[in-house]
Amino acid sequence: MKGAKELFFYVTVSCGMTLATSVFTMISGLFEITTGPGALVGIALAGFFCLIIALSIGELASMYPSAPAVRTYLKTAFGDRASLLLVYLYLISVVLVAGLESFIFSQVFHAAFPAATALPTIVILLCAITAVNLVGLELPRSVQMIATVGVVLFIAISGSLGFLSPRIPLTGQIGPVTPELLRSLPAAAGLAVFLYMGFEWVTPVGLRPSSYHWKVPISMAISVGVLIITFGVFVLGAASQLPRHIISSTPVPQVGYLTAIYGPTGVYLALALALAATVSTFNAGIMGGSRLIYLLAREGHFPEWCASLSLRTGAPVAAVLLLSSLALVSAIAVMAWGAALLVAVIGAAIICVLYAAFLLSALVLRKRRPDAPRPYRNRLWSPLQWFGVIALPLLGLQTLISEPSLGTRPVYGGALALILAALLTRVYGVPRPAGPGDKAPVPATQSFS
Amino acid sequence: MWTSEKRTYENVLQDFKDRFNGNPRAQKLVKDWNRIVLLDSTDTGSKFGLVVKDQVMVEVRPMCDFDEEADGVVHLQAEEDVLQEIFAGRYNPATALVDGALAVYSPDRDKVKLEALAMVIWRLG
Repeated sequence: MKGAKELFFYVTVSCGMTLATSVFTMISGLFEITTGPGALVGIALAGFFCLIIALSIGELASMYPSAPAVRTYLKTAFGDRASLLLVYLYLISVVLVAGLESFIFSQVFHAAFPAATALPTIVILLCAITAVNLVGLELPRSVQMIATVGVVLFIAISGSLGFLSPRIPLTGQIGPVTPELLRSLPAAAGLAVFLYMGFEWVTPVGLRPSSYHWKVPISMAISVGVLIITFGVFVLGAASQLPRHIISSTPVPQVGYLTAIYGPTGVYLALALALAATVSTFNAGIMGGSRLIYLLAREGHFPEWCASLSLRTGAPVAAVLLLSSLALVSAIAVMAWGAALLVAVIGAAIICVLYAAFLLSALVLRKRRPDAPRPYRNRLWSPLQWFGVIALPLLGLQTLISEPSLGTRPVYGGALALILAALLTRVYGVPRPAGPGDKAPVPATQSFS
Repeated sequence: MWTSEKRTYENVLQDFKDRFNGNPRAQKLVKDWNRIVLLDSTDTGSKFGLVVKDQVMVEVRPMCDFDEEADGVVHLQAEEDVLQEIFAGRYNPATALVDGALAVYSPDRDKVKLEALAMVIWRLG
């Protein structure tokens, strides 16, 4: 795989990692706090921030090719303890989103097969994903690429169809620019960051050293561009077909929308979409999350038993089982308390903070290691990056108080996540005593070009 | 012409080969895993291939040239010092990866397999 095809592969990996079923739950959340055009502006603003983040991460990826991004970039920039707090926060968001994703899948499945109840669907789904990860099965690259292209085209075409044959005139939704509308935009942008969550997971996937000179770095920016258009078109379509209160009243608005576009077949198309997302995004999320837990355990920053590997398959068995179990608990909590939007909002706030940390780490490393080889150097205006560093956490905070229906629960949830991450840092922040193979870390300044 | 440093590095790799072939668990781990593990030094430019075939590490050979597109190549890139420490069992490859001192270009499964081999051969963790 070379040239344009290789770049295309990275773009599909990056896009594929974001296209979870729960993105539609977040679109529902956007319609709760703003109108269709407001949601569109929120998506564009979030996309703009993510473009800055993507280019900054691109530079970090070229400095540390194939490294686990969230651990390596933050560790080299902020040191062990501060970065661990962020990594634990990230893991908490992975668990929350995995639970949310399972629950949302069960809701789509229920829409297609009304006799199916949520809990057995969630359990079967998580068991299947766990088994796949334990066996160590991976989708062939070509299948991954085709699946992602199919999903992107399907969402974009479906959105276009709704937009081109509107039942509700979009112009009617563009009212005067009121202070209320403007006030909703920061929160809408913060929530919409969730839609792009995971685009950076392409960074360890580079096939060869030269891939990090520009292909992997640029692929993330292209992916964000594709996603801005895809989500934007879908939101335009949804706003043209369904009243705002209908979209915001369900965690699976895509089911109603696709039914409005394609008739009764739409439910099954929504299920096919959810299955495609589960096979690629959700599975890869569990795989990536369990690898991160395993790596932390190997470093002594997680319980030691999480560092076990299957000698037959090479799978990090304990980490996979732990993450799947936590995802099940999270899914049951979402189901029992009807907390889909709550979890999505907390996940969005965490991601805003983490993306700000990525931006800051790129800036810090520019100062601390100015001469370190950077085969790809972003041309961003650094005040723009600083603006992102300051604005993103504020957007995250705004997100926590954005949903009127949730009251102050997201604030408490966010605080709980932070306390849990701080506790984990306190307990596991001190690495275990050095043993065989635990050489003192060396400064990572060498060239990989 | 070999410098004494290079010879030491090669000796470490030869020693690793012997350890590998003398370890039944390592051999079990590489069942149906025929690969060339390419060790590419960023500072010295030295390149060695550890050839694993039919559950045996058949040779450690200098590689002047290699095909990046070839199937079954697991490409490790680091300073020679780092590679030497890793293959002498003094630096855990997982830690080296996290430290940004080592880059591995391969499918995820191969990365995990290398980590498992390090655990088995050096009894890490």
